Amino acid sequence: MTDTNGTATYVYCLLRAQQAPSRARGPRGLAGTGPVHVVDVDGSLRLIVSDAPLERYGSEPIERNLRDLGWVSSCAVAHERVIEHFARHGTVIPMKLFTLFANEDRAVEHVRRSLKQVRRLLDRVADRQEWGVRLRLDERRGLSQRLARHGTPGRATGGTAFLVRKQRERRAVQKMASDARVAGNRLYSDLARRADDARRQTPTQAGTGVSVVLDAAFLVPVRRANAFRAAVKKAAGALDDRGLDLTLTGPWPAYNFVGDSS
Amino acid sequence: MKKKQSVAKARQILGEADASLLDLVDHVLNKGVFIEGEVLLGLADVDLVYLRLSALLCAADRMARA
Repeated sequence: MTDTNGTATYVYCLLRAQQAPSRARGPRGLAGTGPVHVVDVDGSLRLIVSDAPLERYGSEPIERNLRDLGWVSSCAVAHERVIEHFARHGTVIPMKLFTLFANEDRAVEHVRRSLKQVRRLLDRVADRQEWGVRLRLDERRGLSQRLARHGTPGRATGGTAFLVRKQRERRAVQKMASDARVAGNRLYSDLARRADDARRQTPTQAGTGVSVVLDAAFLVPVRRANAFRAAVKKAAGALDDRGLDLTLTGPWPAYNFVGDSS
Repeated sequence: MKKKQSVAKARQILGEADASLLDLVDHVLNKGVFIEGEVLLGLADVDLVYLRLSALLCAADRMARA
């Protein structure tokens, strides 16, 4: 896939905008790449790209550098900045980090082959934002909050009392975890009702007394974004004294809602 | 351990400034798979990055609460 001049075409996103965005004062894109520019695809549909030297962005150097999270992070920030800039000009379909084609023509051809699907996706995400919600259970904090509510069990001393107390703690942790799952499910369906679409990942165990109970993304119409944020904030307050931390991130381009062909 | 080292290193690089940076990397690297470019990254490597990110996302204790 090597071009004659040793560069590939790096694609940031697809943009649907009636007017071609001005070239001036855009972000500069990934380190070492050429100027970010707009390539017309079809009507109002455009690709946002830059030339990328293969010695830095060929598959071999990328795969080598993927081990370096610092490098990946700086690429991710540059990638996201470009997308957010162009999202202000119209509707975008964000590309995954390191989406590269041999040259501009190949990238354009690729999009032209799936125009119908592209338009359908654009309609689905237009005037909407993605918000991320993560609910984490901090067992230690939850346990001390629970003890504060229910009182410290058994003041008695001695080996038996110790064992009894440990057993109670274990049960309390189990109860907390199942309560947290219920709270996570309820939160997800409450928020999904306020969104046009919702996705959730399988919950993960961190194994260090902290587990992610809910990791979800919501596609929210821009005009309902304030109400959505307010709902999350309200929920966060109610969950805080049960060892649950609620994190809201966004607004994102609709990364989680452009990944499938449905 | 190698994994521990890389997590520690990543935290050091990322600093305590912004756990949302991890969310960003997670978003742009693992989602938004609409068009497959012609450079196909080794799946094992991407998985590796993803595992590390999951660990970091769980461990980040300085996340701003909503």
